[in-house]
Amino acid sequence: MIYSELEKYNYIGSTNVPINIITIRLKERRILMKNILVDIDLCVGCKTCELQCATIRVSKSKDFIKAVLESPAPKSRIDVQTNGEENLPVQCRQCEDAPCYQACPSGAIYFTKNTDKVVIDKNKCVGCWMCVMVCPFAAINVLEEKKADKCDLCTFMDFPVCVDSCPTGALKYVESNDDLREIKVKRTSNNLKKYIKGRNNK
Amino acid sequence: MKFVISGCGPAGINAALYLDKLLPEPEITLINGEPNPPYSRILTTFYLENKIEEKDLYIYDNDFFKQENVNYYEDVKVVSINKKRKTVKISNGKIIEYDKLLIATGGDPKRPSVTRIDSDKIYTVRTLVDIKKINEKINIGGKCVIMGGGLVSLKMAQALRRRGLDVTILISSQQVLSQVLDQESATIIADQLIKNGIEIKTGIKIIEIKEEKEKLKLKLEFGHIEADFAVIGKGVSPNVNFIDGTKISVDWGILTDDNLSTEETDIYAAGDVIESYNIAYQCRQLNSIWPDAVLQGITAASNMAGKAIAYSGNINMNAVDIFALPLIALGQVEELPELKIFKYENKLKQEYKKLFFAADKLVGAVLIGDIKNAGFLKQLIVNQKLVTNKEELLAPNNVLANYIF
Ligand SMILES: Cc1cc2nc3c(=O)[nH]c(=O)nc-3n(C[C@H](O)[C@H](O)[C@H](O)COP(=O)(O)OP(=O)(O)OC[C@H]3O[C@@H](n4cnc5c(N)ncnc54)[C@H](O)[C@@H]3O)c2cc1C
Ligand code: SF4
Ligand code: SF4
Repeated sequence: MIYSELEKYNYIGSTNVPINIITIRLKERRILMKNILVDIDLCVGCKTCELQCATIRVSKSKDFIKAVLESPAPKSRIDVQTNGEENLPVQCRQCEDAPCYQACPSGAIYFTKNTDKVVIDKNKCVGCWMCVMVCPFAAINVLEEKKADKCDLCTFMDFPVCVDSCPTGALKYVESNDDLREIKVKRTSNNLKKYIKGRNNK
Repeated sequence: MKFVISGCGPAGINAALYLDKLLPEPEITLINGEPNPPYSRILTTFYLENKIEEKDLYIYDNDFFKQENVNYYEDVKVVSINKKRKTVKISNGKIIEYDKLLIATGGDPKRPSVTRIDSDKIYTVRTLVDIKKINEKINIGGKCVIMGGGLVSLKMAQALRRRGLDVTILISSQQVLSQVLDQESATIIADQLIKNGIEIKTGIKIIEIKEEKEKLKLKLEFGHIEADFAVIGKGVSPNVNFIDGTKISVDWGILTDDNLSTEETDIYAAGDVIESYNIAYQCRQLNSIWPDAVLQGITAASNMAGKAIAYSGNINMNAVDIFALPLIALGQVEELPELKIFKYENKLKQEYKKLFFAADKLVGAVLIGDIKNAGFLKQLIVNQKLVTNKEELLAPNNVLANYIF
């Protein structure tokens, strides 16, 4: 049932990216992961999530005051973009057909065994920038130490810090089977517009 | 069903992994033409510069090759195909039956005729064996010339320089990366190479190479140059010397349909060995890059397993880090009168961006220094989106927000 849902999205856009190995794993285990849902109607562009992410997940000191003084400045993995009127928090969308995973020649990008999250093992990263070249959401940061860095949904922690810190509830951490279809569309790399919830995307 | 996969590069291995995931116990035969376990070709120059160790090259899980449903052959090649009996012959004399065959044999380095002399001081760069030979040579030190200014040549130059050698790049055209960049962008990359101690000579024609007193002597059209060894980086041509007697046709590379099936029944092809559709140029060409090889491998496997999916092409693209200066080039990057060009440059920060539009569609981009938005631009080119505010795409921030709303 879940698999046939997935299959519907095999062809999206002009590249016809086949949903890769990961889909098949989902078929076997019939579970789906949690992902961050962005509700743009609620985002006021305060960038609290950026500060929290940069401090807790990226900075060396993990302390807000000290993090500001660090050089290089810690780069948040979530980027709150704006067109002047509306705000759009952008981070890794955890694509099922993850182009970054397909492009990485070093084995640094992998899917976690139990939770199916796309993460980067920095020790293996050689800084070839293949992943930056193919991520349709421009969600990968180039660190000064010549490593690629991106949101891992705080996989190795209790809860995503951005979701935790968002004062308006614009970021939600939801189970995929809460609303399967919506998340499915959102997790496909070739579908820029549909990964957020809000007035433009009902 | 018996699946035979010829070649264990990213195309072949990903096809095998995908078949294994897709079907219950498929019988997979993998034929690796190289004398070492499957590894990542792209990592070899990082290995040469001592950034990683040999064990890091082997990125695939070794247990896969020991699985009961996987027959893995190392250091043997497919020598012929018998399409009537549906068998392939491999170089140890063995005959292997197939129901579906995948050709993923990649390419072999081109050797210009002038380099075909009997000398053990001229190296090609493709396999781990090549890299290991060069590695032994480096330990002695000295001076190296690199023939060709393509991506692999620049990666080699960087690795050899970082190992302390004197490196000179000899290029027949007027610029580095002539297949990848326009002249202006190429100048920035050349400057970065020169700043880091690499010598670049353009417009060079090599007339003759001789070996004399343990040195290579290169006679050029104007003058000559001496070196301890030479590296050839002149691109690759597809490995197709075993397809005689089949209907498979080859132009730049093997011709396939959208399902990556060749003209011969039950034979598929993927990776550097095929030619594919380039969306930016709107024509078929060789697009020899890793991400395509992976995606084509997966696509071919799916079709071989009976689940039809299409591969409708990609754009040419390259990413490389030149002495800590990142570069990404996408699609059609040419100073042509019919293309509209938008540019941004910040010399202090070493940032440079150039976008190429055909009417209202983005067809190409060069990003140097600040490469963060590359993937987003790539998606615009691939999806052939209409772009109204072109200048906006040069900005470092808010590109997605500007585009989505
Ligand atoms: C030094 C270097 C750096 C590179 N850097 C990049 C980069 O940064 N980005 C990028 O996108 N690409 C890069 N590439 C190119 C990339 O490695 C190739 O596009 C990719 O490996 C192609 O994969 P493939 O599976 O089609 O073929 P290959 O990787 O070439 O694998 C084909 C295999 O088939 C074997 N074979 C040949 N003939 C036979 C036969 N008759 N029978 C059985 N086996 C056979 C070959 O020995 C080889 O092992 C680089 C290449 C090199 C050499
Ligand atoms: S959004 Fe980008 S980084 Fe995240 S999985 Fe997709 S391609 Fe990879
Ligand atoms: S930059 Fe690192 S993570 Fe990205 S593709 Fe290269 S090795 Fe993989």
